[in-house]
Amino acid sequence: MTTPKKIVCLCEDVTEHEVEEAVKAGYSDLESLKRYTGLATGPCQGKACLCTARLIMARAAGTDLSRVGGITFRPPVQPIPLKFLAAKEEKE
Amino acid sequence: MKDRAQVVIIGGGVNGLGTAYQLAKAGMKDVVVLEKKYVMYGASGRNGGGIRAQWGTAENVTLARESIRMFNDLSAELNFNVWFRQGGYLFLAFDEKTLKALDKTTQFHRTVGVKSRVIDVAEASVIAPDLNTEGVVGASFCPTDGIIFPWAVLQGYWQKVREMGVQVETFTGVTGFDQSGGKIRKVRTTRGDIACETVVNAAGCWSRDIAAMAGVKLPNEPVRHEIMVTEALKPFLDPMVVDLRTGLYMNQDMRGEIVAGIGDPHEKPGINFGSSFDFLRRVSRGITDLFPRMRDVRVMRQWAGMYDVTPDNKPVLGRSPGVENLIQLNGASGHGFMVSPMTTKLTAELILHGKARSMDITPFLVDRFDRPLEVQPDAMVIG
Repeated sequence: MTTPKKIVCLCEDVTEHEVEEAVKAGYSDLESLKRYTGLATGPCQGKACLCTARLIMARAAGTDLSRVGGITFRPPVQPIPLKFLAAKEEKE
Repeated sequence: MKDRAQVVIIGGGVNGLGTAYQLAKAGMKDVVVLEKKYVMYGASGRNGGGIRAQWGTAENVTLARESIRMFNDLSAELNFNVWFRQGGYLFLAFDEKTLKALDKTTQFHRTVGVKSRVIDVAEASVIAPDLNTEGVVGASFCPTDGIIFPWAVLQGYWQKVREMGVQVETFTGVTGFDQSGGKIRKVRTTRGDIACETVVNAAGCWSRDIAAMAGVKLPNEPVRHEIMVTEALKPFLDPMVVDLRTGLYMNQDMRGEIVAGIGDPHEKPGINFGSSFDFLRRVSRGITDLFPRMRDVRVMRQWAGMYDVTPDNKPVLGRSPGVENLIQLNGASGHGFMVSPMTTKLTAELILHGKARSMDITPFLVDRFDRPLEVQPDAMVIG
């Protein structure tokens, strides 16, 4: 029988339980959690999961959201095909 | 946080945590690792994970060759899968002069126990089937080179050293040192002082600043290098591929993503973690030139990290002139991760036995910079 799962990060398949376990193991800031679970490293880059993840972390650690912190968002905002970036400009 | 420890290590990267591991493994567990941000904030969490023995100087080759042996055992030692995959390194030459240089390098490799060789275009196509070989005149290949997942290495070390009793203090910056009689007596931090016997400076691109706090001058210069990752693809690329025209390097990591970087000869020294659109364009052109089939693959994320560069592209190891108990472990010029098993082992030996046993570290000592450079910088630095 399978156990019901609550998925936090849909891209990288990270569950609520895994976030709670990570906090217990000492990963108490979001940057460290990202590098431990892979959360926020998939195609959505955290846009869908970070708010939920932060709430779960704060609750599990018994602390407030500011202590959990955030992550550095990296460009590009949306995934872009290489061919558009590789294209030459008209003047070139 | 403790106020006293035998060894204080500055920097929670692969060299800091790796040294803590080597010390703890030998029984010295009264060790504190100080990390001013979170573990993996610096270059250890930002590099491309390339591991190769194909270097241009005997010292760099020896460090890398022995480190590859140690990386092979690391997952078992740490009880943590570090995702080391030996798919080889393929250096692509597009002109006869470069190919000649590769030929010379591989001949040198044979004298130092590295099984690299020059291969023709047909063989390069077999090793990297989707490669566009237009313009390629030849390549060098070493099958035991490979890639690793840096985050997993760090997680493995971090968990292991904590289990062994080492204290890893994150968000704890070093603000200065109390010194007397040619020694550091206390490390001052943002969270209090720690008295100690030995201090290790493994602070990556911040190492020069840390050394300066103790009055030690290092010539290291931080230089930004940018890197990016695509969405995950079905496995198709075994080796790390390097384009020697541009310094582009790319590999497929164990998650299926393509990780790629490319050097910028115009980059000026200085700490800068910003990302540039110019890099994204150059790297995208480089990737689609080599692998036209990747045109529709999407870029997910770009970021930057710092090389800690020395004038001869070799790391700085060993005791510091004038401050006997400050041990340097930095300046690896963009290949610190791949040689870290050896540099951390040598550093631990120096602390435990008063002398590095596995290798002569004279070529890496700080005082070499007081003399004119005896050798050319390693020409095999890329990225």
